[in-house]
Amino acid sequence: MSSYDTTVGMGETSFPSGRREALILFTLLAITVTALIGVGALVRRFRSWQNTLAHRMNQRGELALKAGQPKLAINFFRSSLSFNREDPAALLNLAQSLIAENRLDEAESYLRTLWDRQPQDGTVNLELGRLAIRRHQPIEVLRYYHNAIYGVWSSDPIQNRISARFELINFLLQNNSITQAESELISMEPGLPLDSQLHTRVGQLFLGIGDFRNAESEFLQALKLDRNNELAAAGAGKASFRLGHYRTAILYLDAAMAKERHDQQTQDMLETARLVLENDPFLRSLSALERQERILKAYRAAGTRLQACIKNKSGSDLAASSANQAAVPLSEDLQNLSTRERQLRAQMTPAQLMRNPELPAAAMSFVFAVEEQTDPICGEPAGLDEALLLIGRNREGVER
Amino acid sequence: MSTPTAPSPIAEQTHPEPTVRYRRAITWPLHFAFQEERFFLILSVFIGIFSALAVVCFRLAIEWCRLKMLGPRITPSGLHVILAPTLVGLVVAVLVLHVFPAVRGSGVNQTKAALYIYNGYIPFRTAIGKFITSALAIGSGQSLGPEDPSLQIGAGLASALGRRLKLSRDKLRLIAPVGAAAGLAAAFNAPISAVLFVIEEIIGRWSAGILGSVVLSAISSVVVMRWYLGSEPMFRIPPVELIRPQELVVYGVLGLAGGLAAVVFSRAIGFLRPRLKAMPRLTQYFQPAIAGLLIGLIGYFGFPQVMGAGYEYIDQAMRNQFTWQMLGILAGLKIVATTLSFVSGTPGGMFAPTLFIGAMLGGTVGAVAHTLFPHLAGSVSTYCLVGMGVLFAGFLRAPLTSVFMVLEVSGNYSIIVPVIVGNTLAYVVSRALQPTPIFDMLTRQDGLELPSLEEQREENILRVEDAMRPAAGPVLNVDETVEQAYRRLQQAIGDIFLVRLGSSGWTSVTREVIIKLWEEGKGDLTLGSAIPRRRLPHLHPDLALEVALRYAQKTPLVPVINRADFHKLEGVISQEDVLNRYKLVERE
Repeated sequence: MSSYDTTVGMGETSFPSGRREALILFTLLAITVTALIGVGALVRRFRSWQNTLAHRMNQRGELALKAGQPKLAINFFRSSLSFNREDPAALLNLAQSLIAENRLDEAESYLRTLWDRQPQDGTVNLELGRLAIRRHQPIEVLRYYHNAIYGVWSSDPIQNRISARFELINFLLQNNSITQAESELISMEPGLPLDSQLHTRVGQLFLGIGDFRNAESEFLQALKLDRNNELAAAGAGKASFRLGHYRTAILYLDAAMAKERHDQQTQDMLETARLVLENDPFLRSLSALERQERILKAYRAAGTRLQACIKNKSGSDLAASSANQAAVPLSEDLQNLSTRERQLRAQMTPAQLMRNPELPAAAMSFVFAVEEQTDPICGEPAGLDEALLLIGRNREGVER
Repeated sequence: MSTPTAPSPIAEQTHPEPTVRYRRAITWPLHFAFQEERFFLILSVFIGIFSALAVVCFRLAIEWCRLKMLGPRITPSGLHVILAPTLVGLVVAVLVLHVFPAVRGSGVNQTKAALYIYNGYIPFRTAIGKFITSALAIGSGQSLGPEDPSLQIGAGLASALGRRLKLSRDKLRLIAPVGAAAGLAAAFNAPISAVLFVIEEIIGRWSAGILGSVVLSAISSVVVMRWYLGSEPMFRIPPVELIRPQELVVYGVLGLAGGLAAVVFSRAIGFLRPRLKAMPRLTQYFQPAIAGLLIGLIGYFGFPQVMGAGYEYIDQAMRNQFTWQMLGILAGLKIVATTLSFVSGTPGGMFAPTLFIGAMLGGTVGAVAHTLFPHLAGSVSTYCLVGMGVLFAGFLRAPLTSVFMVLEVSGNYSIIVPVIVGNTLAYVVSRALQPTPIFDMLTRQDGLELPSLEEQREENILRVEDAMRPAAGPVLNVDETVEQAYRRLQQAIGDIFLVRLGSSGWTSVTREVIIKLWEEGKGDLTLGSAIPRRRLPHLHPDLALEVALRYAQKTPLVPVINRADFHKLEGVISQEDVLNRYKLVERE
């Protein structure tokens, strides 16, 4: 017999049947179910009230943040979180407010909480990436930005991914990580939507890092989507110019110049491109006479450039030697060029050029050598000299 | 001979009618299930559910009061920061003095007293009163926590249910701790800690008899609580990686600081509480209000973090929101505020404030350590969490609970080594400087003497080996003849001799019996055939001396034998030996 049978009597009538206990348990069960439902309703109602308050606090926080009052916003967001500490929107807002207040450690703590819950969330990764930029942690920057780019976005995923990629590229460019930036641009290219402005932006970034082929391709794509896009036209012109496609460059640079907005660089490039085409003796469509004239003109221009450079160099060397009490000889390259110039001078006539098939090539070789040698020591060439330099480089490229 | 239509009683027994069989089939499982122990276990589940529901409502009530009195902003401001705790203090004082006189304090001691003094009786009115007054006090900003009241509410509910079901006195006595565990588990969202705390602090001893019920109620309570309020751990910190063992030194420093803070905290309470209690009754109407006013002023003048339970600020501290100076100030002010609230007789718990102080202290030590040694791997949040455990161990003096509590509230096992280091040091420091634990001190101030697990741990337990002596005479063998035994006893002293019964144990024989057998001419008989083979109970040297007392009352000489070799006699013990040993202890 159980102990409670002997004392207070609950079991006196129940054992051995146990009916009373069964009745008790059924009663308890009924009370439990009723209480569970009742408390459930109470909790739901309370939660709903708390959610309303949380929403209100969140809204006020957002307003404060927009009004440039991050400190006040922090208080509102914290209040919102006190009602629902798992609310990701409030957590993110709070982290953003803390970043605005330059309280990076705290912000990181909240962002990490969010990241622990949703490591694939694009927004959270982007914020962590931005935080890493502020902390100069390049490895973390790459990690979080890539997470953001390949992560999940609740709204407008394509646009958000592109924006994140642009931010990353800008960071890489600012840190001189040109190769990484280029690879990011190349990765970005296939997924770009049909948006002329976006292609233009990508083209400009390619242009900035010196990938002219991709830049030209992007600008052309942008123009295909919007032929009135003057930035794309200018960009296409510049890219073509850099690639040595001067006819195409003139076409696009002309188009860009026709618009109201254009920059000095566009204008200079257009003039240089024209000069290139007007003075290039290697163009196929030229007559023999015209080719001779261009060679002679180039030779004269190169000779003038060489003499000016030697004179300029001698003047500066003289000043330096008088200061150092020692004579500085003219550089060997310039002396050689001067010698070659003297050797060629007698031969450089239209008749000689016609008679001697080796002479045009030797003359143009001298021209290109002069322009290349004088470029680093006598300042950047302008006008015809610049055109000749570009022709030479373009020619070298073709020959290579 | 019976007719075919009249079945014999045997036939009736072996082939009962379908109705009877059906009734038996129904009643057998009931019979099985409702044996008292099992019924009590089932009841424990219900107690867990009811306690959890009560605690959920309690938490909603606290939050409702807070929102109504202090507003929805996390950092309350304005005059109501001062007015709310002051005015509510007056209301609470009236309720405590006139309506619910047994709700003062935290509730842990009251539950323990119910177990040991009042046969598990906790008036239902007390549970209701605790609910209302604690919700008002904590919600208005008094520096107290909801855990200890939850424990008492759970115990009160369980006690009321036990009385309603007319359980036996034994079970009624045990039902209060079962409810207490459920209440605490729901309040902390930590079933293991709740079970350990109830064993360490309420029951005061490891009792296998009640453990099952306590665990069941705690688990069912946590399940229900999580269903309503979510299962997220209370605090979340990143995994802790101890890169250098030297980092443990900092956690050791935190343990020392925590131990000292715990001593300051408990001494402040121990000093002020009896003095305020002894003041005229009229002043007791104003004590909670004055405490509320002072706490409100602390809040008004820039430190509202010390108001209420303060969990949200622990979370902020873990997220590096405060400078180390601020963390230190908050730890100090929380000690002041909680002492004021508690000694004024305002109902409410000390768990949450203890965790708050510990977190702030931990954060301070962690932040200072990071400033001095920037290479330290542990974040400030780790130190906050360890600090919570440290103060729990030092102040509440529940070392096991403190370790598991930290693991459960953070859901992070990687922190265990720093926690053990910190908690152990805090416990040792606190015990050395403040020998009486806080709950024992409070019960003694209330004129009660309740058992304490810590004191039991420190007691020197007397064992059989402390009182046993070598066997005085020869040990006889069962196959010896009476003649041989007689000869051996002639040179021996003493009147009672042990006889080894082969493999079956030991018995004893008196000198008088052997002499009588020899005189009767039974010298050739073996002892086995001549004396009755009444087996003696035996003891082992490591058993508690009180066990020996039980056996020595019935037997003049009890053999003490080796646990590994039952034939090896380590010594003997008699009732006189036991009593002499106890007398010696008294003299010492």
